[in-house]
Amino acid sequence: MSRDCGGQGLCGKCRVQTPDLPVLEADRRVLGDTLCARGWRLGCQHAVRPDTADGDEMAQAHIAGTGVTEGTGSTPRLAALDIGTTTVVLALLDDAGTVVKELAWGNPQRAWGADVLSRIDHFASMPPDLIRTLIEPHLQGIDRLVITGNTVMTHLWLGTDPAPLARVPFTIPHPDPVITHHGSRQEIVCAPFAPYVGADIRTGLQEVLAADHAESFLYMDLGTNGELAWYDGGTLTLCSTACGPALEGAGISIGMAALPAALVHVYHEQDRWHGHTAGDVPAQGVCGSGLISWIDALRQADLVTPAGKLKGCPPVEGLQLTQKDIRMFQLAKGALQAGWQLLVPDPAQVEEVWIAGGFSLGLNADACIRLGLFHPAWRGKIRFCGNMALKGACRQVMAEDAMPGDELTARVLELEKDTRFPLAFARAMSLQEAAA
Amino acid sequence: MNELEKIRTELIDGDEDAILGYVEEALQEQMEPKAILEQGLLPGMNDIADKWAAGEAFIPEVLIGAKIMNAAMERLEPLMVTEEKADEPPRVIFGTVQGDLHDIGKNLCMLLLRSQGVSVLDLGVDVAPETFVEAVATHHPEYLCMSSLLTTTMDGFEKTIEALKEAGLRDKVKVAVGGAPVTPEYAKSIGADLYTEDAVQLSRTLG
Repeated sequence: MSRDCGGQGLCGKCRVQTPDLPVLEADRRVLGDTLCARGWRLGCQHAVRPDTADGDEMAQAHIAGTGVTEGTGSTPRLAALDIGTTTVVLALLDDAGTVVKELAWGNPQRAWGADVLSRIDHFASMPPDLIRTLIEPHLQGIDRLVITGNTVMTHLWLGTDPAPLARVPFTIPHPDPVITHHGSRQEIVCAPFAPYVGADIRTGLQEVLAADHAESFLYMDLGTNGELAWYDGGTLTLCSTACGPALEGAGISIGMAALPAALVHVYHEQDRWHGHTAGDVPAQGVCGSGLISWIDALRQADLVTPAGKLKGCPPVEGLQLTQKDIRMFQLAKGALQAGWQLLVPDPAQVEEVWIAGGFSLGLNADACIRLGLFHPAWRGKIRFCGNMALKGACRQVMAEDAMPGDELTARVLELEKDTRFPLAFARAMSLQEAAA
Repeated sequence: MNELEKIRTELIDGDEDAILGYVEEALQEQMEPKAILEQGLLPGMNDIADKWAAGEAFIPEVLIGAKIMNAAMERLEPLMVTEEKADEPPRVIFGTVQGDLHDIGKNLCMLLLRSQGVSVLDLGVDVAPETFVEAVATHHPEYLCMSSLLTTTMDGFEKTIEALKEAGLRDKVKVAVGGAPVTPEYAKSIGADLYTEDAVQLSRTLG
């Protein structure tokens, strides 16, 4: 059962069809009268009788989406772990640094909410060893493990209450790398930069800096939130922008993760609307990249104005976007665009743009440019680079010195305190190319 | 269409130069600065709020409209010094709860209320329960409006309501709560008097 809002009765993702249950105010508000009449209820808002309880559902929630990639046959001695809010990935490496095996799971903490704030709220009630339980069976014979992830995830891994990360004055309980020993294994948790710019950005940037990169570059990690880094050839400046999970399909009426049955591409041709889904199966919803493609197509057909007014949405595979969906997208897109506009002194001069995170595969750069998510001058300069945080952690686990990434220092731009932000955000919500 | 009507109908388009141009023309035609404000700029903001309610405008139009209004006020205010500017006691007090720095939503609420002529006092962000209580004791507002954008800081609502009770002020003021994580059920459960889904609805309820 999906519970993006952490059981607060907000997202509707946990809806179940059980007509025997009474209709609560929250059911009516989130699902509407029609669905309620058909027996749909919010799973998180109703007490479950013991005989109908799905016994171990919380602990089992991760099983969907498990993936294993086998590499060479050599024996792994080293491991790198990327703890994402949504996905956990473990890479096992041999002594030469070759990835022998890669394993992926949905983060089992998702049962306590989709975003980092819900995880903070549920720190006390969440079993502390969820992720260790997941990976430990695969760590036989591993001498060293490097752990990366956003700041909340690395703190939860260490069993430390992450609450100070989310409240003024925003302090970081573990600001430095943490080295522990688990039996004979050395475990190194990489250091975050800031409460909302975590070790995943540090290891990701280390990977870019170690790769063949242009003199200046912008690095964007688009996940449940957006983290941006600007490297001008000498110094690094970072910011986190509260674009929220809409770009991952959350908070959208028909939104879903980029799984089979999610619309990934929508287009308008010869007066007809077409949609492609992941896995080529009938559509059940739309994921982030599909949402971008769809809104771009609606804009081109003049069914959405630059200001975001939806004039009409012809059904695609039986699905439709609502005015509120367009507004949610504008909020997310405005926050991301205002983020790079304030972070980079002259966006037109950026030589290279690295896009890390979940979007790396299915994002249409032209649609992003037409909607203003990316600057028009970035055409041809965008490099989709996948899970850089994990690649960087794999590099770190090979490093001789055990204190990864200490040499990387950065200035953090705090957008929430920046007086320029509200107006930049307001302007960036416009659905058109960013001014050149 | 005279300048005041142009200001009112075109504020939503967000063209600062055009609006400031109309303000200049209106002044040259000897229109009162107060009339430019009350018959041009404020109704223009109000129209934007109506259009938001109808799905035709959104946060950008309000924020950009407010920026233009501020620029116009810099021109008009020096000309209004002779007018009586009575220090009205605030009818509504606003603040973001302790631990939270988000203020765009709160500021939108205040803007729309001000554009309807409601007197408003802003306590800013990261406001402690005792600061809210002190402000209520000093100004006796009709409403105290609190905002929180984080589930991690929402406990500030309950702490403030508790502090109002301890100070014997809870029945002297109506409490409204808002922000992305707030639901009507939650507002009810902590004993708040009012919750609205957005800034427009709040301004229409209190205005």
